[in-house]
Amino acid sequence: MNSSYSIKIFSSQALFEALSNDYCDNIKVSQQSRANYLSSYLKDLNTKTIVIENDYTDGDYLEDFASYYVRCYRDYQRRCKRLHFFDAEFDETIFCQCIGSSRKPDIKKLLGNYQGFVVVRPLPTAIVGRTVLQTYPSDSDRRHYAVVKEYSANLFGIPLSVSSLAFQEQDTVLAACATVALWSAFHKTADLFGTSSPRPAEITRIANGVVSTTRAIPSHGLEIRQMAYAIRSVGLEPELIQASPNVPLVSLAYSYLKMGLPTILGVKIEGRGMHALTLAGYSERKNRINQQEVASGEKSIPLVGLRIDELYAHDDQIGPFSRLVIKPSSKDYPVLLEGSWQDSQTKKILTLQPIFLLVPVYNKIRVTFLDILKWLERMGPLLSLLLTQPQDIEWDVFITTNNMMKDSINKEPFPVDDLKRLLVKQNPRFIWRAILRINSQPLLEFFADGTDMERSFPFYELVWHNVDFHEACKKVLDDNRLTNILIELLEQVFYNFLKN
Amino acid sequence: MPTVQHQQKDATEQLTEQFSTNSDSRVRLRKVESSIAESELRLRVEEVSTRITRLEDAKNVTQELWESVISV
Repeated sequence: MNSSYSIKIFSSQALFEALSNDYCDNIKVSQQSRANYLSSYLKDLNTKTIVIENDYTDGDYLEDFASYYVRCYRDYQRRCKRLHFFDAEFDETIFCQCIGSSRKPDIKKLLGNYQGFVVVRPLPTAIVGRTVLQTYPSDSDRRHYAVVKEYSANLFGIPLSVSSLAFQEQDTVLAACATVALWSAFHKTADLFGTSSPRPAEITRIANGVVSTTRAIPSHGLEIRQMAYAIRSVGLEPELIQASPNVPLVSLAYSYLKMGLPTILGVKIEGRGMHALTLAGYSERKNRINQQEVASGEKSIPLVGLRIDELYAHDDQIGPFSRLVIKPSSKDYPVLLEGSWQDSQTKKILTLQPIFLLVPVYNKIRVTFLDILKWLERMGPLLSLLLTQPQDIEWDVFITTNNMMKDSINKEPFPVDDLKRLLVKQNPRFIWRAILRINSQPLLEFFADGTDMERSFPFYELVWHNVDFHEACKKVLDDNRLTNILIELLEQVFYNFLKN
Repeated sequence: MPTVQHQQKDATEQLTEQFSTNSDSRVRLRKVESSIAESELRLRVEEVSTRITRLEDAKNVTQELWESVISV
């Protein structure tokens, strides 16, 4: 038996024991919702074995320790435990074969697939530290976890890696939910844009540097403007969108998530207050699930969001990749959401009312989803005129990069001439793609310059995917008797663009 | 308004469907007659304009929201 590590066959009890410490025994751990969420999550991943690294120095916790816990009278420890999860059952004898062997062992064959790790903080509460866990399987391309990156872990010389997004629970000392949501988001933006990824204590400090109406530490929350300041401090711009009744919220979130841009969702929880979560993925169905994604009495063009039935969020009070089910719109909110929040007395599921989306974007992303939507709205009447079933159309609007776009169109069924033109062309670094489909068939597609300005005409490329639709559209656009009304509807610049 | 609505109903009845000759037969196109098309489009101009204005309004974030505390 080695004191540096121990190996346990996975069970809820084994997990709770592994998560326990001197201040929080396994009974207390078993009463914590995050521990129970992790247990269920790992069961779903079919975890078989836990390797407990008993003496682990975690950078995030160390910063928290140095910023706060070291100055407490109580003698908090500076080191953590780290739990590693595998989907194969093995014992110490097999594990030992993977450490320091002169022959290169087949790690995957011996230990199975690596499913990630949980850092266990030596604290009375908030024991779940930096957590990096594998996502659920895609379920036939339904679940999409775009906001993930590769994390590597070195376990006694064994190189391990997992694709995920870091999670941790708030300690309400150095980080409340807003700080933790930003911390998770910055992990991914660092990967996307090469920006910095400060630790929670640093984020709280920076956020309180601009304006502070309460004491910064212990931290019980942040104002949105403080979150915005923290975003600017890492070299990004805060794109804040209020969840107004007429904003198609799910499609808006999707438009950023598809590229892998983490999106912070602010919600009001019945009887509790405002809470922030980091969106990391979505569930996209083949058919429409919701009739609309704007409040009742409002209208929007049909978008992909109508086929999205769940969002996946890092909720620091629930767990990583927690499910938010999209519920029909109400009078005041574009949609409502239901997750795992319950009334502690009645156990009734609490509804989450979306209030805002906050996206940390690269400064060159200037044109927004709503800017694109305004132009697409103009197409509605023209499409109703041309198609026998205009109710079946769907706009797929999302931001992407030049390189991602080129990779993508190379794999898509794309008109050959257009494909070649777009591949060799100098494109903007950030591009909004707006694809019009009917019954999954693409009809046309706009490419918009994401680096331009709000008031300019954003589209710079148009691809006609369907020849007959193009012909029909051309006929209408060329009809002199319709020129005036079309210009009134589309504006001269859009009319010219479509015509040429 | 009643005149236009009546005209639109007649127009819809008159419209004949033509199936696309493209490999995908699910794209069904209407045969457009310009006299009717003009009135159909005109009926929608105001609605589109209103929706665009409201989307522009939605971009204005209130000071109250900026100062909201996220604390749960």
